[in-house]
Amino acid sequence: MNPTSPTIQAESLAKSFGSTEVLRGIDLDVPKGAIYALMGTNGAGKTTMIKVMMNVLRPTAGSVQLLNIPSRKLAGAAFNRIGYVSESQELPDAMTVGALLDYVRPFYPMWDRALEQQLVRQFDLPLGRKLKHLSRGMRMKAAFASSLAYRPRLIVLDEPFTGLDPLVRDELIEGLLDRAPETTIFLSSHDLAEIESFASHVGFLENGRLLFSEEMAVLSDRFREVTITLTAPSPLPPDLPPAWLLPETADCVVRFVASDYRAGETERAIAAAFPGMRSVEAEAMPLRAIFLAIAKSARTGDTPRSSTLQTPVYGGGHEA
Amino acid sequence: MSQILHIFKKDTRRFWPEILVSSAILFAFVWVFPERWKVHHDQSQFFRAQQFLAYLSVLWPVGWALLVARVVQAEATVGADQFWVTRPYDWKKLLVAKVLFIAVWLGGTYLLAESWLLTVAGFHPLAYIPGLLSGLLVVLVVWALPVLAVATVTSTFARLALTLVGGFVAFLGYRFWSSAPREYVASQPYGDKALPVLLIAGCAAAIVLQYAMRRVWIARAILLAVPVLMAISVIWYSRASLVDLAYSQNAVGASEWMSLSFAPTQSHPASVAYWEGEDHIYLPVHYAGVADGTAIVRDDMKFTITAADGRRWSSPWQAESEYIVPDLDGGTVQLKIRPEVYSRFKSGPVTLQVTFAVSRYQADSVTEIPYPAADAAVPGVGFCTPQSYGLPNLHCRAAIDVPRLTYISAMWSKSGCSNPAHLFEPTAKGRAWTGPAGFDTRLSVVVAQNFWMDYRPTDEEQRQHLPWQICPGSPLTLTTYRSLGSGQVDLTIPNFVLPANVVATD
Repeated sequence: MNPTSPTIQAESLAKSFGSTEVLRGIDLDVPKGAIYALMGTNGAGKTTMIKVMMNVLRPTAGSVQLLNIPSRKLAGAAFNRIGYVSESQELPDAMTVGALLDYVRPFYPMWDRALEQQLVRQFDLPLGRKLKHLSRGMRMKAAFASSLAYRPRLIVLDEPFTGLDPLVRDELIEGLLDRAPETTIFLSSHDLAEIESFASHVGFLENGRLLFSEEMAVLSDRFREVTITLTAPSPLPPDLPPAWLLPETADCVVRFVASDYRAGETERAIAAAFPGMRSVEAEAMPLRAIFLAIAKSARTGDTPRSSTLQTPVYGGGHEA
Repeated sequence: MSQILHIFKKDTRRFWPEILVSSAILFAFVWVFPERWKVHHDQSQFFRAQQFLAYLSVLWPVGWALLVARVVQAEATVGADQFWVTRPYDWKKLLVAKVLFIAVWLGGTYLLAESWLLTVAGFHPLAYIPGLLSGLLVVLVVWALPVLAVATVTSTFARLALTLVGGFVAFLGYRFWSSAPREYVASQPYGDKALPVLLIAGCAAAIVLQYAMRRVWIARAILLAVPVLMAISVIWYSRASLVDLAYSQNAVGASEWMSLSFAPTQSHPASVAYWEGEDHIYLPVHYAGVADGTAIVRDDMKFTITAADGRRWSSPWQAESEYIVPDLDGGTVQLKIRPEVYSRFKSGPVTLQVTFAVSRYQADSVTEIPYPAADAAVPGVGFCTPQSYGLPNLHCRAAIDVPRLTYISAMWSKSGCSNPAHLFEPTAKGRAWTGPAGFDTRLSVVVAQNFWMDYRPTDEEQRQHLPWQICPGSPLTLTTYRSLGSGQVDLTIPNFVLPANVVATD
């Protein structure tokens, strides 16, 4: 594998179930070493995307490669280097945690027994209890332990933190971050607060389209919540740039989310759009606020074109 | 290999209760099975055992289906959340592990149970290894393979059970439909070899496709196509007569093998009866010319009716089963014909030409033993016990190896077995036959069969003096035969007047 090539690379990836298009021409690069968070509302296609990546489902069109292996050929020994945990994944429930680890261990030539024991201690796993008798959080920890102990080069997680209490989430994230230096992590989640704390890259999937995919720092830089104070009440100008999301006005105040904020340049555009402006404030936004702004603008029909939301980050375009 | 054994051990640990239950059912079956050939003075005990065996015959496949389904669906091939799909399983090794599990816990227990049954039945299991293995193969192919295939396209045992029940109901429907009275059924001289080929190929294709690619709907379509193709094959085969192919019209000397002549008597004239939608014409015939040491078997028959005005009607081949030996001088030929056809020809004399598809056999060993008083070895058959309730019969058991065509004969007692002179009194001969088609196929390698001796009186005294016993110690003759070939033999009856009165026997 070329050391500079992306760990995950999707090209025009599409998946349909009958006439329902779930993924629509996804282009995506996830660089080696990234912690990539795939965000999206329910039904956006995140789980389908991951299942296609893991060769659980076949793409209708396009392709995706993991560790330079086409997803369609992902099977058997290729999973020695890939760890996968999903909230919906079936586990051999009749096994105890210890039996599960004993069972999967021989499948992996790179299994690290010391790391396994470390994970068992770190997650406080009850080795003698059957998986079917464990809480959801404990099951997820067992699944994590069985997927991390062989030091996979890529870890794919589908909604790993959904429905877990904060303590368990912290433990899982901690266990995950311990592995981060030696692996690439790709996860989908609604848990924006946690993702913001450790994700290095983020993508937003909406209605089967990848609206943006970029580094977290770049995303944070280009999204600003803009508040303009006017000298007198005024209606919104009709031709605001499409990258200004959810514009609203009340009395002398205009608010919108700038999805392409550039210091100086955006302020000049604001001054041109609102000549009677008295002041303007542009505040950095947390990931949750960015997610909500994009989701709401998509729902209200003020759908941001993906080109207005994306900034090329990993080389190559990302037109969805 | 290590991955195969690893999965096998995991499954064995996981499913030991299911293994235990299915094995217990199997061993209960073989434990009760010997009741079939034991002498029961209390018949209710025999019928209770038969009933219990019937229950076990159902439970046995159900237990196996449960075990197969559980082990296959432990690594289900249906769904998008399976644990194994995103782990480094080699699908070929996974499939082999499942097959190994079935071979060991179904096949192994089957061999053990059947070996035990053979021993109880008086046979040495080591002498019947080919029979045991072929029985195992049949059981695995007929029972385990379809369940394995269905288990790979269903996600839960409930769905598998529903699918199997649906399939069973469809099968019953097909049987009901196919057993409706049909005009003519020819024998199937070659057997329908397409059925096992279709079954094995279809199931194997679906299984491999599922494990290799998890293409559920394609695999389901294949499995759905299998019974459809099998039904079509059966329908085609039952309608396409291959009798002419198997019984050559030009077999050398076939016309010399025997001769038949129409032989009505006042007490035994030609007659006709209406039954199951058809008229059945019964023709008394006389046999002659069967060479000493040979036997002729009538396997099929067809006939042509030609009226004086040139009208003609020919039947297709119709299956029959009649065994003819040199000392059997007569019998009956039964012609089936549609009532409307019969009506067209019954007004005047016709020429009736009957063609028989016959097989000729040469006796190659004759064994005479005293008719047993208790359970005893009977050469060429196995072990037999005389049963005296109702009409006397020999209740025999054999290992699965199909015996050769065997003719069994003994003399009926005229005056009862308490009279020591009965052995020397000339009476009618009782006859029975067994052979490759004589033993049915079933779950067990030990098969039980009753030989009911027929009674064909040769004179009026014998007709009036119905016998009721074959006495122990009477000579019991067993003649085994080897095949000499097949051919066709004709019987022509000119100026035959079809019997006028049709008697309904429904």
